[in-house]
Amino acid sequence: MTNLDTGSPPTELDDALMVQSTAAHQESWLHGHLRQAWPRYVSLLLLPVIVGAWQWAYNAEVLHVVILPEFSGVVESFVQLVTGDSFPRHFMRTLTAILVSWGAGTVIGLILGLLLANSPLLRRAYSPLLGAFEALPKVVIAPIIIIWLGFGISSKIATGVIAAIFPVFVTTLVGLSLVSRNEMSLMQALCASRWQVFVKLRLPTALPAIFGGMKIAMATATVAVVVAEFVGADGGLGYLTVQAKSNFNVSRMFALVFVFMFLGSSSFLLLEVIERKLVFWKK
Amino acid sequence: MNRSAWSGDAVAAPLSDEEERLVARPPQVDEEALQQPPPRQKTGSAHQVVILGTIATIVLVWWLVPTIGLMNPVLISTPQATVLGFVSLVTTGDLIAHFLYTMGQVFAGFVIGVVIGMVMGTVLALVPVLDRIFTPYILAVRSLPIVVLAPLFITWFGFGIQSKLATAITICFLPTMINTMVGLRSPEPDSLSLMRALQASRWQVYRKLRLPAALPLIFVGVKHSLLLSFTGVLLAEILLGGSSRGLGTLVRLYSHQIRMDLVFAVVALLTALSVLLVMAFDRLDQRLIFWRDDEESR
Repeated sequence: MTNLDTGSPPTELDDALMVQSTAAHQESWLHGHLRQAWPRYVSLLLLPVIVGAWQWAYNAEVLHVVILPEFSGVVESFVQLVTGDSFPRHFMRTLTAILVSWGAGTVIGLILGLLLANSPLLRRAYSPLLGAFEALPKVVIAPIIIIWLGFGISSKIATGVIAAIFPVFVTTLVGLSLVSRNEMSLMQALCASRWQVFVKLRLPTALPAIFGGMKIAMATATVAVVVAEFVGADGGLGYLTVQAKSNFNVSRMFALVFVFMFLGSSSFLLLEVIERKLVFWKK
Repeated sequence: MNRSAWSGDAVAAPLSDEEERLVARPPQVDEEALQQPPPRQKTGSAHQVVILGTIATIVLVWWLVPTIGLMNPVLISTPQATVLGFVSLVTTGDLIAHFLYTMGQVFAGFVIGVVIGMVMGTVLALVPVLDRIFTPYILAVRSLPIVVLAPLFITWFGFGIQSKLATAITICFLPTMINTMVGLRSPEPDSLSLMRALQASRWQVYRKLRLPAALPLIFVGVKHSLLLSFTGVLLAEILLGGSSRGLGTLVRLYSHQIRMDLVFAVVALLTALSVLLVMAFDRLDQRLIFWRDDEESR
């Protein structure tokens, strides 16, 4: 840091940056933008601008109709899709597959994590094996599982479970090792039993990390279920997407993307709310 | 732990059995969990026995299930058939050509995705106003399972290389972008004040403080991007009806023919590949981000 004297004096922009980065540091990432409201309005204004640009690009025929359908056509498609008779069935089927595989994957991941965190022997033995399985892109398993379990919901759940296990397992393992030496010494000085150390210190320390893993698991389970539905299914939102694709119905595909966006953000928000209640001490 | 020395006069009540036991044998700190890497020799051979035993059991069960007739051998293949399938793929089918084709796309998508992610992350980190304007949109994209865009890309770009690249890039740029953004913002306010007191220019703050602080995190993001690029290309190849080359295409074709020995062989190759990728990346990480351990142990 010897050549700093060549630097120019800090500008006002620097000050502004520094103040803002301080603020961003003190508040959570999500809350940062709530404080000073104006960028929010800009971001709200951006939505009609995007829609306008979309419609203009359609009218000016910048892109082919197959690539960029009319925006109102997408909206129409969306309404048609959502109000369709079979939509609740397809939607519920995908949702059920995601939730069941997420739940089962979380439980299995937790058990695996607890086992390996409490046994150095198992940890050393199975870490490479599980690491290898974690690194494998799970999409290639989907065709195998569909051959085994068929086009029904069970193959989707199985693929989802496989994808959901690892995030929870890894974060449980890491979270349980986060305890600092000082905290451990204090527990020792208080003559805590192994069980007490686990319940009163290690588990509360690990919970925020585990919850982070459960959030990732929701995302990976969703991806796995959707991929399995793409590869082979007789129902579900992924099935609808593939159907729309083979019909070159791009506006319906866009409509389905919006449905998926709704699905993803609502599950994300739900988990966020549960996390605030459950891991209330996390800043 | 010298409680036994003072417990006699400080605490009048005699110790309960539970306390007695604890004093005699204080609860053990899980040294393994606290120290990484664990300098343990005792379990050295034991864990190898466990892992070899597990692998042997898996192979045995895999061999027994179709042999006894619990599952149709056509559906689950057998270990020996898988090995034979792999050999035949290497010798007769041009597995190496498929492999190179897929990996070329994986790396192309990865490089483009990482560059896009780094540029966007840097811009969003250094211009906080932009970040706050785009946060709702970033969250929306983030909550979207991006794989659902793959069919759209296939419709747009056809069966060629473009749809695979587009899928790989859109799936893989996000982790790099987010980690770049978070990493560049990670320096403490105190450090930033120090840089300011030293009259550092913006470029110097970036070069000497923000970038070194961010690199470990960026590298984690880049690693995720690599694996996701792999996922993206394979997914596009599995979904693409018309493509004829690539490892994902092999998985699709052979699973349609229910040639499970060949499917298993390709999946085994893919597993080995992804493990090698991760290992190579971790090695590179240790080389390039040599200050990571100092930073974390502090």
